[in-house]
Amino acid sequence: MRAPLALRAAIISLLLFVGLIVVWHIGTMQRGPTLKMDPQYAKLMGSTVTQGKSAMPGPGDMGAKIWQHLQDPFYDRGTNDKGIGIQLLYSIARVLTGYLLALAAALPIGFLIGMSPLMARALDPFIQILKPISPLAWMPLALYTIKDSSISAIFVIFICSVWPMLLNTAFGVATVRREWLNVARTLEMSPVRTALRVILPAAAPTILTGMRISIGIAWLVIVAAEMLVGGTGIGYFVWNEWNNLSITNVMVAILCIGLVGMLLDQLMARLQRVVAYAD
Amino acid sequence: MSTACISAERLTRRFPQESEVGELTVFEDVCFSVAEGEFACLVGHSGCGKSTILNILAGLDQPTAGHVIAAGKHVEGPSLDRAVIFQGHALMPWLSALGNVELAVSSRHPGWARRRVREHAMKFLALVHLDGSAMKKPAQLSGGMKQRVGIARALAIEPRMLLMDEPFSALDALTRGALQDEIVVIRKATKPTVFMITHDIDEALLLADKILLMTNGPKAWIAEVIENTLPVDRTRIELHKHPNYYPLRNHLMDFLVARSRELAAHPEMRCRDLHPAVVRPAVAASSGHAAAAVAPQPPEQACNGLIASGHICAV
Repeated sequence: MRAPLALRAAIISLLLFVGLIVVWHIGTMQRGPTLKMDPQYAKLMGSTVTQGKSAMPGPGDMGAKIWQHLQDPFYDRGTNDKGIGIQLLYSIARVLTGYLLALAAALPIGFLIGMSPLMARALDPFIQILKPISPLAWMPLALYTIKDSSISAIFVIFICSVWPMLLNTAFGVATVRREWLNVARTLEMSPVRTALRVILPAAAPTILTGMRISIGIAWLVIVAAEMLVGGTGIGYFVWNEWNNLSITNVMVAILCIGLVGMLLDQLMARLQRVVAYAD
Repeated sequence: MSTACISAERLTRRFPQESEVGELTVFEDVCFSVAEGEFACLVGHSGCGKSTILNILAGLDQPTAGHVIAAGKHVEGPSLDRAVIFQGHALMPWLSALGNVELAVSSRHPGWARRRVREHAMKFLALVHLDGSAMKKPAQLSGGMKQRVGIARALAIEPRMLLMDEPFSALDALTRGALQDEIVVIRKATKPTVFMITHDIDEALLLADKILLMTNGPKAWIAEVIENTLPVDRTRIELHKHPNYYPLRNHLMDFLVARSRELAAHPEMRCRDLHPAVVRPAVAASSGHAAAAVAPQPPEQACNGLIASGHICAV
């Protein structure tokens, strides 16, 4: 009698996790040579030099830091001292704003491209040239024209998440089965009704795939964008803690970025399951 | 026969050819009509343009020349008056069986309340014995059940005529037989006008009042109209026991195996007025010997030669 697959997988995951923690702990616990120095001077030097402690935080340090953040994730004590929860919320708000604006643009243009071979050809050169541009390359241009760092970050999210949604919508709309469209025509459905009742549900799985790719890219890009624009957000938090030489905080932030990214992806996966159909 | 429900006048369809210069004429000057309440089957080999004719009747395709008159009006596009039952059922896979029928009903009656639409759709699902599977998605239904939903969807909009494009060709023989029987029952109940494409001679003999025979393509045309001489209340089980069955069947087989090809090779054998000859294969009353008779026709449609026996039309 074997345990179910999910249970066996969970056991292996847990073992890997424990192994990782142990290796990490061993890697960071060794003591280096210490130097004798004037106590006044020693105060200025870090514990690496004076106590021979590893500069890399161990799992214990990290756990303590996470616990500290969890105690009060939403505190706000001025520009450079905000809770990690607040920073994450700033980032999520920017991502969602840029992402939803991109969705609002990608759906109608994608429908247009998918339904009109003429417009598909006419817009193709623009898309082909604009699509491979790194979203961060737009940043100076955005800062210069918009003159607001926060909106510039939203613009960068918009421009990076619009392409997968646009292309997938166009592809999904263009490949709706001819027979379904023929059914709509024989039922004398209006173009709007056909778009909403036939084309949209038919193309929805493809559109959702594009949306899932986009939210992933948007979450990748927001960290880099916030490092550039500064002020608020998890990207800024990472950079600020690097300047504070708080590697522990940087690592906690990395973990949070991963967790939020996973949650966003799972959310899209759930939506994908809602619109999926078996043919 | 009463007034024509739909009639095709000199329909021609040409397709541009990719490799060669010029066009491919699939069929040329096709003429026929289907009367109100009549069941017509179109039989012919693959590639002669049967489905294209059906699409033109439906308004989904446009003829290169000629025109279709339906209910006294020139057909310019699809209409709710002409419901199509597609070969590949063409159900929306994201909707349940009921949802598929409801989509059609609400297109027919945009003003109806949701409940009324649902009741109407359920009535027609019950007609094809699918009221128990109304909430199932097409992927959960068997091939025969999917096609039943397609039939319910077509009937639910209560069209003036049904256009069926080889509706049962993708089904196994048993399922096909069961669905044919249901069509017989539905026909008795609702008396629809039907234009159906089929490859199956027995299916045509069971269901059709008249069978349109098409020559091979390219440049195909409808050469003959066979009037079904079997009794109106025929059943699938009794069909082949009637003395007229074999004359009819032999005539159809003969046409499909040999004459469809011969006629395609000799377009000069075609009647000059372009209308198909009407043939009534039956057992000759006196001798019991199988014979085909050319039915009396209006003078302008007369085709003097015995087309049935392969003679050249002498007009």
